[in-house]
This record gives sequence, structure tokens and C-alpha cells, in this order.
Amino acid sequence: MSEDLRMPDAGHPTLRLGPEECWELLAGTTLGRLAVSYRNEPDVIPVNFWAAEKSILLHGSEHVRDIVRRARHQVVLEADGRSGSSVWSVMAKGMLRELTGPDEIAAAERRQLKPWTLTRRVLYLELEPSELTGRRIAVGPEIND
Amino acid sequence: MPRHPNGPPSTIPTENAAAGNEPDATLPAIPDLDNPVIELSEDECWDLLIGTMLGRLAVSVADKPELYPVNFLAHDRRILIRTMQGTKLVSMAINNKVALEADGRSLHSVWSVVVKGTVRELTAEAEITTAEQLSLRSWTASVKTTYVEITPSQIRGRRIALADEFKLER
Repeated sequence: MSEDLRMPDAGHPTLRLGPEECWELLAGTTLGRLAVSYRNEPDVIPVNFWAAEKSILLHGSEHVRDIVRRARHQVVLEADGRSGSSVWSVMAKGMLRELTGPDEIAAAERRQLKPWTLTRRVLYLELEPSELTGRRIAVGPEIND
Repeated sequence: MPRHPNGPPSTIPTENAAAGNEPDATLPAIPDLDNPVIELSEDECWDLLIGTMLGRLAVSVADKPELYPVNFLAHDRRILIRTMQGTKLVSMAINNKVALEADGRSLHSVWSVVVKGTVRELTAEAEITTAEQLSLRSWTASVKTTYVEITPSQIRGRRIALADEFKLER
């Protein structure tokens, strides 16, 4: 487990989160937004994801497939949430990899992931982040000096 | 003349009037098992954005995206964001092409709207004064000193049916 949760306050409204805390927050969330960039133009799609063992799995629709196939470079998955007097946001960056091997697809199927929406899913994508960053920001009026 | 900043787009009453006596004409389509995804009209997209204050802003430098949650205000078919000095602002100065996504859920569906466009920092005093008069609220305590505005080049939205176990009960 992580140490005592440090919380942001009026004096330090923004706190950077360590990787362990980022993974814990990701593991407790299934809705995120995926951003890709194509010819220097960013695009965003909401996605369900499942984080476990330092890897993030997506079960993508055709819409997701069409968007991520254009991305030649790294993507970023962002998830956020609110707890009490603060909000948090975690960004996981890396290359997306489509699962193609029958064994890894079967392993993904066995996890019985439950997407929120009825859209037909056509591919599994895995993101093993090369960079994981997170911030927790205090909720409240802005602190001016 | 500027419309009321939080009012619905002025095109809607006109369209409703044009729809005549057809009562179904103004009802939004509802996605279901057979048609799980419904594309939204531009007016529907703006209506949804006007009623939302949290979105995620994607920027890109060297074709690598970054994504930040932001409070925004949709008004006059533009998006206003207040931000602090930081990497997000630097990224937008390097590449002014951005995308803002907002989403939400109803009982049986979720929606998502993506605005793509170019962003610029408000620098003229008159623009900043106008921006300050709009009710752009921020949730967080970090100090945001800069206003930026997205001029959309494209807006697209979708409404997607929820699986039974994720539907909300009334």
C-alpha cells in the first residue's frame, strides 16, 4: 500500500502523484479519454479501460479503431475523478499495441470486461505506459497572493 | 449582437418553427440495441456543451498528444477556457490546433462531443474584460491567469446506448 495519502491544500493546491498512486487510481476507474495526434492535430475519444499489472487494456469499437490506426506516435490516456476536497488526473503515455495473438486475445476474453456501451467491439488494445504522471488539485476558490 | 452567453443557440427556435406541426420532428433520436450510436447535429452538440463545465483538452507537440481536464464555457459557438501558466499554455503556443471533448450520461445513453479548432490567448484588454464577465467557473484552487479561446473548425457528437447493467433507474 501507499503511504498516507498526501492531500493538496490552500498553500499547495497542486500535488504530483507517484506511480503507485497513479496505478491505484487507474485501477479504480473504467472511464477515461484517449487522445491521439495525427499530422499534429489532436483528437479525443472517451473509452472504457481496465488497468492491471502495469498495463492498460482497451476493448475498442470501430470508431476507436479508425482513430487509433492513424496514430503513428504515442498516445495518452487520461482519467480523472473527484474525492472529497480534491480532484485528481492521471496521464498514461505510450504506444498502443493491438492484441493479435490467439493466446493473448483468449486471455483478454477470459477477463470478461464489461464495456458501458452497446457498441460492437472489434479489437483489443494494450497500453504499457512509458510515462505515467498524475496530479491532485485542491477544490475551492483560487488562492491569490 | 452577442447572444446571452449561456442561452441556447439562436438557430433552434427557427428550426422548431420550420418543423411545423410534426410533433416528432424535434424529439432527439434515442440509441438502442439496433442502432447503438447516433450522430448528433451541430445544434445538439452546442446545447450539450452549453450545459457542461468540465471537459478534456487535447494539445499536440511534435505529433505527441497531451490531455488535460479543464473547466470551460461554451458561448457564441466558441469555447472559453481559463488556464494557468504552464505546459498546456506552452504547448498551445507551439501548436494552436486543439481538440476539446466533453461527455455525460443520461438514463440509458452516454454522449460525447468533440470540438476541433484553433486556440488563441486573449490579449486585448476588451476581450479579457468580456471574458471576465462571463460566468466561467473553476473547480480547483490553482491560480489561472490566462484566458484562451477555441475557434471551432469542426464539431461532432455522438449519443451511445448503454448496456443494460449500466443503465440508471429513474
